[in-house]
Amino acid sequence: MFFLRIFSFFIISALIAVPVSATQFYFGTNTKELPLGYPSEVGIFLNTEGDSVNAFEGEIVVPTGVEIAEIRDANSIATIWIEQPHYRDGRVFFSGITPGGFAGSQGYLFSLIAISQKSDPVLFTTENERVLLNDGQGTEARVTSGSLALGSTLSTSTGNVFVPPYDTEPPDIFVPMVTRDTHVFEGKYFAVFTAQDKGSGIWGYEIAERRNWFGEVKSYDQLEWKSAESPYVLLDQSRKSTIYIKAIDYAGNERVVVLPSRSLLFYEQPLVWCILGAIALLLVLSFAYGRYKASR
Amino acid sequence: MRFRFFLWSIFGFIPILCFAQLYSSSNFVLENPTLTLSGGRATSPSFEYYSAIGETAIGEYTSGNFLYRSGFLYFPVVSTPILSATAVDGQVVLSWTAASPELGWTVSGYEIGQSTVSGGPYTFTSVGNVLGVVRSGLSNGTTYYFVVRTLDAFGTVIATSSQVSAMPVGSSSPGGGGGGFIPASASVTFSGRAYPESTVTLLRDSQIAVTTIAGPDARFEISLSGLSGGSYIFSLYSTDSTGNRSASVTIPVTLAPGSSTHISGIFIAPTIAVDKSLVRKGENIAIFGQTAPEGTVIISVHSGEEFLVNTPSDENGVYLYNFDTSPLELGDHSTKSRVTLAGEASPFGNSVPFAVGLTTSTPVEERVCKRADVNCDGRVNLVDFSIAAYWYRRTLSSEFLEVESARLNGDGKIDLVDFSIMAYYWSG
Repeated sequence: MFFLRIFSFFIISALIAVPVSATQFYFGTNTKELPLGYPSEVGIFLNTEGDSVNAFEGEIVVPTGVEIAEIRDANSIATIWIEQPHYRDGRVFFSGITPGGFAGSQGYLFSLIAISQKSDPVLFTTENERVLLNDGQGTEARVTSGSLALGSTLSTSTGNVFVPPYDTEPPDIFVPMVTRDTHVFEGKYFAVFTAQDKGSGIWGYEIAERRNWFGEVKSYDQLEWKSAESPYVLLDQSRKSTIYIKAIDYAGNERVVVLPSRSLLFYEQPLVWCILGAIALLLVLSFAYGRYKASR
Repeated sequence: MRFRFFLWSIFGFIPILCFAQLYSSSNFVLENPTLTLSGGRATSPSFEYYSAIGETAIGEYTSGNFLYRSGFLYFPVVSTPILSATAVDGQVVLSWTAASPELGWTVSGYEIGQSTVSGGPYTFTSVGNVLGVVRSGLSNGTTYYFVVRTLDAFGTVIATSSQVSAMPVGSSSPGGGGGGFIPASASVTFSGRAYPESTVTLLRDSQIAVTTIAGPDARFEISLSGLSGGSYIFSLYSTDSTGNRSASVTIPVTLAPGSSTHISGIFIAPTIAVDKSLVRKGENIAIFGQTAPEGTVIISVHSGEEFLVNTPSDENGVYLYNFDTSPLELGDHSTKSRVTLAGEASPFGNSVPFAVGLTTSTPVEERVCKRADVNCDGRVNLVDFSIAAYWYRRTLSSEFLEVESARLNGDGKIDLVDFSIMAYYWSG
């Protein structure tokens, strides 16, 4: 069903696409009319016209009377976002890259979950588009703008109302890294991470740092999670803490990956200090006992 | 330029006329050619040579329907499509990468060959100029074999992919008992040619998923399982025996839950290097690298006009060509290479720059930190991206200005161009 959903969305979108002779952003929907007051999905695609491209950015002008409820990017060709698609002042801004490049006519970027509040026809357009070729030089490709005119309807039917995908799978396993560099964050340690979720898309990340003096935490619920974005400057710059990073998808499924602390030196091990403390205590007690015996 | 062309015209054809010299290339042999200067065509027993270059009067050597390139034997090339097959219930979803033609060929469409016998014979169906098709009405439990053929503007087959197989299976319904539906995981297998005993790295959505070692014949196979259904961007690259990295081959794939997808015919482009960054005009420059063993390496030297030469790779896949720089203009040039072997052709690989000058040549300097490797750890990955992203739309510090100048595009700022360079050199 999921497979068919992806294919049907792409195929129907392709029907709406306009043939072009240069790289073009274009829109795709399952419907030609937005259901008044209900969410509907408007996809943004890239047709590279045979070129291999690896970086793209632009703005989508959202028509007045249309509210953007969500922006989803599951299955996007943009595997890393420079600027995650976000809505601000009537526009959606985006900027991303595809390492290795992408060539194709139906490069899916992301979807706007749009709610129309007016009965007049609406027009989505793109502006300030840039697409760069995958040639190692950052050469600009010729780009043409995209637009999509949609009507409005009072009726709702299967296809024109957005239904969140049924997603029970957690985000894919991902590999965060901890590093530091003299050029950023005053040389402090920071974590970098990015996850993918093919079902509903990544909603966000949370992070927790904890010094596990006496073993691993038994449940992730015991951790103090806080919302985070990559790159994330670590609170514990001594790197003695275990780092937990949680990726959460739009359906609420979670994937937690754990980055162990650095290898602690023997004198940094709490257990060593416990043993030394116990030995010291025994020595004190035996000394006191000796004094006590001598005094009698 | 005109004078040089005139010399080419005269001295290029004199041997043909006088000695009936035999010329050959990787895809044809010219035997006993005859050239008529009286307005006819040059012919041989096996071909006709249209638009022949003949100097009938001083200055008359143009044609409206062909492009002159250096070298008498000039031949078009096309990369082989990489075909993937995903089996679902009663259907197989086929997708392939676009064949990239060069030097005259134009891809007009593709044909799908289908058979239930490995190796064919195939039944071919024209599918138009598309990069994917669904074959339906197939029997579950039967293995089907597919190839894709590339057609030129005249409908002639110019490239055929490797064969892939797929066996449709019936959709399994979720079991009862009140448990939730757990989608089956998908798997994908990649196979093709790299370099003998080289490391082949597979990236899944820009992150390293798995690496393997190619065999002595340069063939490799990588499998990845436990994947969710969805669309992925897979990239493969190889590293040759000197540590030089190939260009990436990127394959977008949509996987159905529970499906098994085979992607074959991947042909990783050769690595390439030159022995001089600056060479005196007239001296040779050595162009070398590694690819599959005993292939035909086509080296392109790009400048004002393109020069193409062929050289074989040895049993270790190593190739070397000493290119005479006499015909090159003074200034900057670049070279790149591709390989053909057993009917398959790789795309062109990375481009390496060099310059032709008037003075002595200098050896290529080994860079301590490679291009786009912002933190200089030998890799280009999310860490480099994050460091660059920190400076995105900010004024660069004087220290980072040096990094940006040396390893990115050197315009004093971090913008989309720098990220594009990073994406090109991405190693995961």
